[in-house]
Amino acid sequence: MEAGVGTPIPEWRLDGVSPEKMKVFAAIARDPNPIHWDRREVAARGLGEHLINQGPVNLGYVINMLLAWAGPASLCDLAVRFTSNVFDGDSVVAGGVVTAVREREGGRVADCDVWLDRGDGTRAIAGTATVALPPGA
Amino acid sequence: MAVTQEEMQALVGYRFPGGEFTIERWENVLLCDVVGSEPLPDGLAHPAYLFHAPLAGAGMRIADMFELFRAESDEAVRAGEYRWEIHRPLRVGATYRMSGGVVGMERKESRKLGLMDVATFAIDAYDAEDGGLVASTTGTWLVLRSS
Repeated sequence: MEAGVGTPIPEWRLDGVSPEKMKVFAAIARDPNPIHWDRREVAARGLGEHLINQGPVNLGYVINMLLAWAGPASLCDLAVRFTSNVFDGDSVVAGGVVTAVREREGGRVADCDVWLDRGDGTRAIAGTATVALPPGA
Repeated sequence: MAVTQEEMQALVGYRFPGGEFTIERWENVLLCDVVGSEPLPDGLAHPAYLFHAPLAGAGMRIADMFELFRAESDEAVRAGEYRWEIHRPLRVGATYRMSGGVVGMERKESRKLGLMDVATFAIDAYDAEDGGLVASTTGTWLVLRSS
């Protein structure tokens, strides 16, 4: 793999966020918020007709992109801001770019800007991450 | 009755009960599926655990957090920011000791979301076997206020 300043991280895509998976995550996380599992409640609150994906699940997509690129045990730091909702049925694409490569205890790491965009281009997550680079990268 | 800024500010320093969280194989499989990933190799757990595992291990359900932050309803809380420092990868079958509490509170007025309390909490995860620090997590939630 290549890792230099400006190197784009291969995108991670999901075509169609599943409402059923939102329900599974609500159960795993014991999240009582009905906007993730009850369309009637979403509509009653004037939030539209689609369930709203959990922020940590959106973040999971960004993490998938990083792990697919740098390795399954590579994630060191992550700092993100949630800037917009993702709805059931949305397509999403996680992206990133290397902003620095440096040495730190344990080896070389890459600092990256990362994001998650909806299919209509709306940015849902923006932030930074640091991943450990495999030897030779 | 409206929650005052002073009441919310008084939560800074509140310590969660604390406790442990074990990453079960079945739950990791489900979590990976939810985020669109195959289970990771070599017994690694998905880092997305760092949202709910620290809270659950620290003895706080999401509903408990809503109550602590005096949320006006279950949908009056939005994710704001997360910051994670991972010192060791999370592993399936491992047990982690969680310790943390509320570290910040700020009342703000947003053009988009209106009046809100920006609540920040931090939880550290330690390996229950050797006591080593595994991850430090900080979460910021937006607690929306009608008045």
